[in-house]
Amino acid sequence: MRDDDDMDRTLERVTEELRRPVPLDPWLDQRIMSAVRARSEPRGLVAWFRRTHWVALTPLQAAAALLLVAGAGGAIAGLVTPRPAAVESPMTVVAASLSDAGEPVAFLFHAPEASRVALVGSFNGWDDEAMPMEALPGGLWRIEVRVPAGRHAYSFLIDGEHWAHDPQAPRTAEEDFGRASSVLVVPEQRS
Amino acid sequence: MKATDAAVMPQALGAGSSDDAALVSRVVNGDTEAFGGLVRKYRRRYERYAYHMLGNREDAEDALQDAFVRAYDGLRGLHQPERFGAWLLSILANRCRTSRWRRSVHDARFVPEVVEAGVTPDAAGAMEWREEIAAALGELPLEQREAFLLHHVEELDYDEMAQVTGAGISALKMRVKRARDFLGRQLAEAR
Repeated sequence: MRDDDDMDRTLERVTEELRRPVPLDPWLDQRIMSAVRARSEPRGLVAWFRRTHWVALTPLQAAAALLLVAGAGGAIAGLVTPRPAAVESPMTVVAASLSDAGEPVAFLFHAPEASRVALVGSFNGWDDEAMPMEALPGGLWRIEVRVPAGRHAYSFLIDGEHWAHDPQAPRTAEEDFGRASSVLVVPEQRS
Repeated sequence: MKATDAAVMPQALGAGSSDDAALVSRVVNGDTEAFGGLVRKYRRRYERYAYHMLGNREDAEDALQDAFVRAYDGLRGLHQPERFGAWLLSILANRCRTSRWRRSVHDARFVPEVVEAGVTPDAAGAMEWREEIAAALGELPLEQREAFLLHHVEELDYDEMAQVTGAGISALKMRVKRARDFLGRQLAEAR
């Protein structure tokens, strides 16, 4: 009888100890959500078409691309009635021109359903009010900024809450915590 | 147990949560971020079970992440979304079982990791007690350890345990009894 009581008391203490919280990684929630977000992204050809793609353009090429997009949009509009599904993916075309230090870098972004877009990055202290982008016809947004030489992380902030980045572009280390940024390297000014 | 067998989940593991059902509905309808609400709620609730089943933080974190991702993948097949918590535990239990089985193929024996606690006046004694519990728990056969933890630590009744593990109630009672006898003997001697 006494042995049974001793065993019960021992098991009570065991249970009490095992019910204590265990200190796992405090970032585990974020890791789980990163894995879940990765599962939710479409794959294959559909994914390629829905993914944001970056291209590097000179300012001249960026201007030509603008004209091309506007011209193609006008031609298509004359032939067919636009369908809402065509803008299902709100962020599709992004361009950041390459530049030497001191020269403006042009950022071009396609977000037809956005009401405001801001360029945020390490070069402006991630201030969402410092570099609002200008809305252009066709859902395009544009800004030119002078970025000092060096490596910079940046993203686009849409309507003050959605971050956009390129899944194929170089990423910053913050990726695992749910907010990835892209990397821009501006070389020293040529002599 | 398949991820879609949630139609028969036990009541007390959650008498059912309308909050869970609402979150599940949002996720199924495309709001991936709503899954974060389920992660925040259930990660802490189940991390203790994963940790004691697997014996170390790294494996426990992997099991939790994997269970959540599997749950996310199978969410559309969840017939009782208000029972998400019970369903998730069945996935996690299955994952822990598989992980321990795989590890047993490679490891000679279960080597539990003992978590360092904060410094207290009797920290050394507390640490020694935790080590003894972890070692004894590690010596239990997998099925007995699972049954003991679910019944005595997670406080599931036998009907609930049967739903989570897929085992019969009489078998579960026998596993719990054997686990209690073993732990009681081992740890009464240790103390």
